[in-house]
Amino acid sequence: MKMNRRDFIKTNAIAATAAAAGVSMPGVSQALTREEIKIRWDKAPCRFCGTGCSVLVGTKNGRVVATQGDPDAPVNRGLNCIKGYFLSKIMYGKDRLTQPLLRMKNGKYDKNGEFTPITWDQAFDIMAEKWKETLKKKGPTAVGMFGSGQWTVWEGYAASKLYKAGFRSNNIDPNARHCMASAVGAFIRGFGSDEPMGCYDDLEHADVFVLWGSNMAEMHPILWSRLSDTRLTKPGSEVHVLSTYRNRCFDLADNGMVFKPQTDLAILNFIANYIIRNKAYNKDFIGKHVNFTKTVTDIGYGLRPTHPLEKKAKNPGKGKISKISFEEYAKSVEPYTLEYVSELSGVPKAQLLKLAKVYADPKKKVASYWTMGFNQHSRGVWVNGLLYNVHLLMGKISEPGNSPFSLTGQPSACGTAREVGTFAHRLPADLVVKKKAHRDFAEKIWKLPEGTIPAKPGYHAVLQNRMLKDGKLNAYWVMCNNNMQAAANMNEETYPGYRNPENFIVVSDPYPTVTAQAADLILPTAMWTEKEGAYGNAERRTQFWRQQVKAPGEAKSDLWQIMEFSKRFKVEEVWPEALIAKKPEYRGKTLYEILFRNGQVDKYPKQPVTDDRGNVYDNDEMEHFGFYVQKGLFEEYRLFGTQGPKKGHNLGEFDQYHKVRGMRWPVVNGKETLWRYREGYDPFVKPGEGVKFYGKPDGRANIIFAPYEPPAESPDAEYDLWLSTGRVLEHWHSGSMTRRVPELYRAFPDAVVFMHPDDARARGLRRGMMAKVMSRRGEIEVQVETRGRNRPPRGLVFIPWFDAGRLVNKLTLDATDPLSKETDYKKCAVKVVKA
Amino acid sequence: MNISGVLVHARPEKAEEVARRLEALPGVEVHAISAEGRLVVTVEEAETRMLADKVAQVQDVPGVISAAMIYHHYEADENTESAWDPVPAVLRTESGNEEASK
Repeated sequence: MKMNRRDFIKTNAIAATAAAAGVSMPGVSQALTREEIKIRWDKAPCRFCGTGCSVLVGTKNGRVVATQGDPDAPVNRGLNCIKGYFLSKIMYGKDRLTQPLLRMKNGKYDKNGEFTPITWDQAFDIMAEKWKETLKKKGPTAVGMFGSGQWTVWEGYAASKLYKAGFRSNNIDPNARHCMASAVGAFIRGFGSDEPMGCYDDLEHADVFVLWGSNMAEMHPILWSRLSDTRLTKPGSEVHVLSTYRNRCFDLADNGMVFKPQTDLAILNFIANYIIRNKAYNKDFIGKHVNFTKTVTDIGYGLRPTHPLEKKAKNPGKGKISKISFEEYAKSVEPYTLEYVSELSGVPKAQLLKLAKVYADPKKKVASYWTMGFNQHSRGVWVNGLLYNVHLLMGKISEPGNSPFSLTGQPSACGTAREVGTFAHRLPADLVVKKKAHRDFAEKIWKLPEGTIPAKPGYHAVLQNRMLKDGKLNAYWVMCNNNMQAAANMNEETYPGYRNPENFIVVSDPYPTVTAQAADLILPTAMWTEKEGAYGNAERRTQFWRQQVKAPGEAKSDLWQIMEFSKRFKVEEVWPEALIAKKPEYRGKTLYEILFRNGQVDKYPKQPVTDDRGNVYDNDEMEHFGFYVQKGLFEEYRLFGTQGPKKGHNLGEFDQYHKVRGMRWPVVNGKETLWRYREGYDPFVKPGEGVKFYGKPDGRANIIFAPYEPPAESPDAEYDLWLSTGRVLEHWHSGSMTRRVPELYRAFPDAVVFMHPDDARARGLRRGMMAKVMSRRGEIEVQVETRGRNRPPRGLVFIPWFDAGRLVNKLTLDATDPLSKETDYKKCAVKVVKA
Repeated sequence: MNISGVLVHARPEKAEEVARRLEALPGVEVHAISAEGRLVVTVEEAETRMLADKVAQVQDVPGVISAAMIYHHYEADENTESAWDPVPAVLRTESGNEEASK
């Protein structure tokens, strides 16, 4: 049969799709061999969300020309969402930054000057000058860094080491603070160990799926397609969806519930109450594996201490939990009756009952998923914990299909931000700076004198912006994120902080983002497959990739930037004499020599990077520094998991990750772990133990009672609508990559305000008209959308945050969960008028 | 020339109906429907820029629960690698910072 080129391509598309669908189509087979079109294919995890899909990256003549879903990847099995589909184009936006740019006037740095191209040498000169001046004047608490859940594992590790060990400053925090901090807080309080016990295999094992504040259909489309597949093929399976507005997930829902903002706290306590009243709880499980506790209440909203709400709170910022009896716990949830909670939440009684019954049915396997609805919540740690309460009461945890599962938004929020511990209070593998034993261990691994790492946690994300504004944080490096656009309350906190004349702001990015525009120095950055990398996804899967292409112009990877900058500091310029005296052999050395030429990081010599098909790849950092930087950093980092004081954080060997489609930690003897804490799956649970939550000293998880408390700001007579922010399918986060892909830009060019048609009509507005949305903090103009994918109830509007031209964070309030310090982006009060 | 394979999920009892709706869209073809409600679909679009729009249309067809893209072929435009501007327009004073300072 003669085929023209179009037929050829089409046949391939049909064959690949049929294979992914499990449909056999006789006569159709993939005709085009990869060699025929001279494209080199290699695996890499997707650059976008926390799902961690693997893609095959096609490179031709030094340029990525195509990507396709990796059919051998257990996560996505050949599928792509629309963003992943156009992944090959993110590196080729028309306005890539290719040279360092400094604000200058009359040939000199000037905060009000024009961005002027300079060399890397000049860039590091001015940076080092500003850092040294700040360290000398105010000490380590006045230098800081805002990092990323999009950093590769070794970039986060190197940055954390440079700050915590080099500059002796804990003022390093990732943008993952905005997305995952509440989840982390609850994992640590409940289980003593971060990250989920289950994995994506639960998507096929569960009978019932419950989405809590997660629009999986748009934000994790590949997981959604796996969930849909189970729902459509498994008899008796059900999907329950809870959200503050109707979204695409409701199309599959057997029980779709729109609840009033913040009342998820009450709904969860109602379910616990229902389980107890009906004596449905798993007596054996709670007897053996659970402690009952309660948390301190009336804890404020993480605002500035001068805010009236903080002054009014009885226990601002307090997270102490204390033991109670089962009976006391039962009494605490007693007020959360069906009648009360239905009234409070606005969810009809029958639907609440239907939901409670699936949790309470011991024969039904339930997987619960949540994302930012739970985490970006002024009681985020509480609400995460209340869901664990329900799963723990039933013993529905740590086994196939029974799975409370926190989904992540960033590709390495888990792998880098959380596991490496690039937070202001953390160290790798769940260690914390507050504990002397943990600091001692880190100092031992890093070959540092005792007392190098400061004990006091540094400024977290929101506090960094406040301290910039207050002039207490002065030399500041923003890397691999777009925080001017991402942080809440931009008008009152972020922007004045960046432009404060006392501060020097450095922004490393591939593109001129809103954050870069507000910087003093911009560093052009290599991205994704322009460097060798590693990401860790939401199911504890660590995935590696090789460098596929060169970065444009002078753009350099974050890793290169961090390590090069460390060469600019002699230890005498940053450490006090008393500390150096404990390690006199470090005298006269640079931070680069102490941190990165320590006999561990530089252990692996320069070598060719190859695959099993005989291809050879670049590694620009190895070429530049003269040793296999990524391998040395990873192998040193791995010691925290294999030798550290916290059990169960083992990672595999560097070389193995390059060969496989990722592995889920703990990895012991080269073998991954699918379900943690359960005998037979988790190598750290001994025969006979059954279940052991070994993150806690007594091996028991905590059920933590917390009540319903109202949000920081609710609609009133003037600001009469709730505002929730979030994402859309076509764009990822601030849109700095996806808006530069013409296809994705076209598909959803500008942010709109989704609102109820009656709310629009009451304000003289109709679909397609321009509206002004105002809060107490700012205003923006957006087009009204009353149809389509999101259908808010009356009284609530939704605006996505991807659009640099319509910055929704001018409206939001920087109220945070007082425990996790994560901002509540889902609840503040606005009014909408005709523009 | 852009052709994409799309795996569509629909409720099995509605799959035939969804298939008919999909085929009504220009450039969209349904090649197979499984008993479980999986549809093997191709989307063809002459202009790359329109492809995502068309896939978005597929997603918006009533009864479509999920649409994942499988295969991508596009004729790579070798000329997009124009000379990069050392100072992109948004960083110049005439346009720079307006957004952030508004």
